[in-house]
Amino acid sequence: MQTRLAAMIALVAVTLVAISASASYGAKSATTTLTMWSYDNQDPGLEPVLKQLSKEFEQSHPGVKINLVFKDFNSLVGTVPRALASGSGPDVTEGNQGYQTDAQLVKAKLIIPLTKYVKKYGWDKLYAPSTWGMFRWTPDGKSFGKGPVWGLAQTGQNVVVFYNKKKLKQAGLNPNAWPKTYAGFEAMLATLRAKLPKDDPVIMEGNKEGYGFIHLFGGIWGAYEKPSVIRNWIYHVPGSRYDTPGTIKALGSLQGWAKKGYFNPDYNAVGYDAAAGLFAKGKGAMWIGGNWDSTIIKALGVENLGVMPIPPGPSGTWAGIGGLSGPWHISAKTKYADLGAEWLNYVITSANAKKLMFANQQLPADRSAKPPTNDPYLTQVFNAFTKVANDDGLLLYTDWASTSMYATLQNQYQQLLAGRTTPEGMAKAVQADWAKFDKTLR
Amino acid sequence: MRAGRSEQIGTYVVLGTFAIIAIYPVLSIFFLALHTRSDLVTGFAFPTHPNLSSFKAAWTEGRFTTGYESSFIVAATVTAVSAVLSTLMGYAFGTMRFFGDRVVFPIVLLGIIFPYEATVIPLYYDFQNVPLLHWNLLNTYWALILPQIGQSVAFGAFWMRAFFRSVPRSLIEAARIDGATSFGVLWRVLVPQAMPAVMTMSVLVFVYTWNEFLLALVLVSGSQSHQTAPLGLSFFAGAARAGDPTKVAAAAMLVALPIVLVYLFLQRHFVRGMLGGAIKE
Amino acid sequence: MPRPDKDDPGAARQAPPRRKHPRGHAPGDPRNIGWLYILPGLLFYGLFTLAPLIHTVYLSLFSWDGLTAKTWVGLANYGEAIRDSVLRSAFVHSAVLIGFYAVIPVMIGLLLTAALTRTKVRGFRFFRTTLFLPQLIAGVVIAQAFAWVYDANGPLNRLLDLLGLGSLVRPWLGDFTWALPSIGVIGSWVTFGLCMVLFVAGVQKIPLELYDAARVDGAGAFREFFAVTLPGLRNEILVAFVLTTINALRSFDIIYNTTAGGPGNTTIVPSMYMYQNAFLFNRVGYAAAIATVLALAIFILAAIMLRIGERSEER
Repeated sequence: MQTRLAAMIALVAVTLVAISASASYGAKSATTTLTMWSYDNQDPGLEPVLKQLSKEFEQSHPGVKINLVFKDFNSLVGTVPRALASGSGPDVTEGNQGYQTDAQLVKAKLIIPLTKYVKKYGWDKLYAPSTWGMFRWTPDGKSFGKGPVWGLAQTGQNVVVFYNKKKLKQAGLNPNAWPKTYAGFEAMLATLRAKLPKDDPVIMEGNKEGYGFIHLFGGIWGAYEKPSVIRNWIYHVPGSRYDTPGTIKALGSLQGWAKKGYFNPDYNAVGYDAAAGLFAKGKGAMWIGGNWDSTIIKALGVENLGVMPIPPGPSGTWAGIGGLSGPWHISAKTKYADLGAEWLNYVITSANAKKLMFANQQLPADRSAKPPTNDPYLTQVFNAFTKVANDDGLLLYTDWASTSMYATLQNQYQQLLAGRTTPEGMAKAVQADWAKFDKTLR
Repeated sequence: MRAGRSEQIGTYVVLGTFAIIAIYPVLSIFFLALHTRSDLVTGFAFPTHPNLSSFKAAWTEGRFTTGYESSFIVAATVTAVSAVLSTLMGYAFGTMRFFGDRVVFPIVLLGIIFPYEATVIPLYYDFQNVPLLHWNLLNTYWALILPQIGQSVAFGAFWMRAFFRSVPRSLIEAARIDGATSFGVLWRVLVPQAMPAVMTMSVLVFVYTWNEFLLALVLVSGSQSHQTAPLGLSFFAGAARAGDPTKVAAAAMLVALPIVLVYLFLQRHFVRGMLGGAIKE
Repeated sequence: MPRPDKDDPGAARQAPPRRKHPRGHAPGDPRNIGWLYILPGLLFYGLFTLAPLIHTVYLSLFSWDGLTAKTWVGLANYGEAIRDSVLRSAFVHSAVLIGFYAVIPVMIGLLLTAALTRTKVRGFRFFRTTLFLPQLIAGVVIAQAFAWVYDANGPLNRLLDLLGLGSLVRPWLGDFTWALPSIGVIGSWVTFGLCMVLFVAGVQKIPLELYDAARVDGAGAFREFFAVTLPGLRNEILVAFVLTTINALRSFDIIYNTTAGGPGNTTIVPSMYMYQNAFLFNRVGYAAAIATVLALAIFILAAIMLRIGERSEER
């Protein structure tokens, strides 16, 4: 009996030694491996684009291996600060603009400022000067919008309405005459609800991860409140408030949509991308979400698809949630900063990159990029972005506004839509979170 | 013990119902895993055309080579080490009286009801920068192995102590009188008898360690090369569930399968260990 | 905790000459060699389990983002914890989960034990193996399994439809009212097998004479159960309650991988809230305070239950 025990222990010991030996042996090989983390895990979408571009980069850089790691947004954002701090984390990673993620990374010196690379590669031509604000932080991580640049974005993103033309026709609406005003849009929603079968949602919604409604709300918000007011609040310009009359009215409008039954009842259990997938399979009359899912949506059939932002309110400004995609950062602990920057330059600015992005209905953030003219669906997506961008109506992302704002918004939206809180109640709670955090910045 | 007919039927109905309840959830994702992405899966999803492609996809994309390797290394090491340490502790607590044993044993017992979640925060920071040594042990196997040995010896010591207390004193006395040292008695006389108890404890520790999630999430999620299988599944499910629930279901099966198989094979030892007087208090 | 001779079969089996130290050291061995045996295990236990707990309490006295310098705040975190409605909800939810993780499984365990041990059951091994299976499945896997079972298009809703209960169909894990009970049911599923195994083992120790005596008195199945089995399983029931209650309070894996505390905060539990504060909101000091409160709750609850157990023993 004891010989068996001894033999077992010996076997385990030998196995462990062998495995650890082989593991460390592998690390001494000649290739340079860079690890990139990304939450652009839409497939179809940006994921195959990044994979393809990385393969091309490896071919032009022999001896270099790009290890792409895709995680969902919540998992990445939740684990990346500690991963970077550990020293064995990614070399290059996406972060998230705002106080929850980027401010922490800057404050704890986990990423490096990109100033010298901006100069080297001429990146300052990529975006409009005011757009650079979302990547700027003072090194203490307190002031958003000022200071050196810490990140770089690959695509232009905004939240738009993807609509099923056939269903609009069925409801007696003209699918090629998009309402010119927000009031007209709400009237259209009412008509759709009246004419569509009871179990088919007007708006297919996926709020499982918690950011579905954060995105959707932007278009409503823009109809009632000025974009500059909203952006100042995110940037913590002193004295800004969330609980403005305009915002409260907008929240009331959103709650009304839920009450009138425009959404699928299981929206809290369906994922964001999953909802897009279901819309592409024919469920619901519209899906309101990010244009990074445009490739997923394409499966519905481009002849049947329309893409437009929610129309403007009385101000006439096209507005909605949007900005640029998640910022790419370079780890402060990587040995390959220059190589990482070169990869970034390739996936963001090279001609190949732009071609691939367009081919996948993604909009390069590089403002000099023009879409090919032979893809009407892509042109719709592109126009839906430029309409809002040109009106300076990109509202950024509300969760940027404090370290706990994401959680607060998730919570409040769910309650608002379930009728468990009022627009005033939600506005108060959100502003309270903002104010509590704001104190720590002064 | 003769029981009426209706009672017999009732018994089987109850047992059968709960057996189905016990198996069904896992069975249902097994069914799900046998589909492919293009199948629109709803309801009971009985696989009419079983297809193993989801398993293949899950294995590669979920990085299960790494996952299995990491999980096995950690679980095997923890199990082996805690088996040894628990046996030693159980022997001492179960057959000897020494200064302070009445104080120390309850402290060890505390480990069975211990809230380990409350220790992950300092474990993270202490592994990031080990006091005095200034090592960084995050994203290594040690970060998972060391705490889990600590967690397992509490239960292990309790388990083995119960076994050793059930051994007739006469056996030990006889060996001692023959001139054996305490270690000699343990190694030559008691360990052979203890094997069923050790086996059961080892299986439980192995299973518990394999399934550990929070510790992995906090301590090794930074590096893919040391991700355990459950952690890999969590990330994979988050990233892929929207697009392909069948792949995620397959990945889930991959995480559960080794344990289920080990359990089914060693089930006999399990039974013997559980009933062999190991549970006393 | 140490109980007299009842569970020291060694003492019962022989008739030893009365010794001065009935469980003392053998001739020739130093008394305290026991320490040598327990030291290695104690080292791991102390270093990686006890010490970190003390460290957690220490960290709870600071305000810290985990990345820059700490600031001493004394008991301020605890003050905030008392006023924190989310934390209060978290504990309320834990209390609800105790009902699902402990009370229901103990009852199911007793039922199954009665079924398994009253008569000779064919396939005893099969049933016991199968019913224990849920205990061995990783929390992450269980989360995936039940996310599917509870899915809007999943088996549960389909079953309800088939049974004509279509009005009950809902997105279980996304529903404000039903998310917590749905998680609770998962908990019951996980722990009933553990209770059953504990009780089945315990039943083996109940002397057959007691059953025979009850039979002679004309007791039927129910009387037998309440008069003989239940009292005989007192210890095991206590252990089952302690283990499952602790399980309920600690639950993290399943919640993190299904609802992550939502919708709203309807399924938030202390361990999840602690994780969010430490690793998402970067409020490490506050998270440590939450962890300390959780640890205290667990220890106090366990102590109360053991006390009640002992109290009823003495009766």
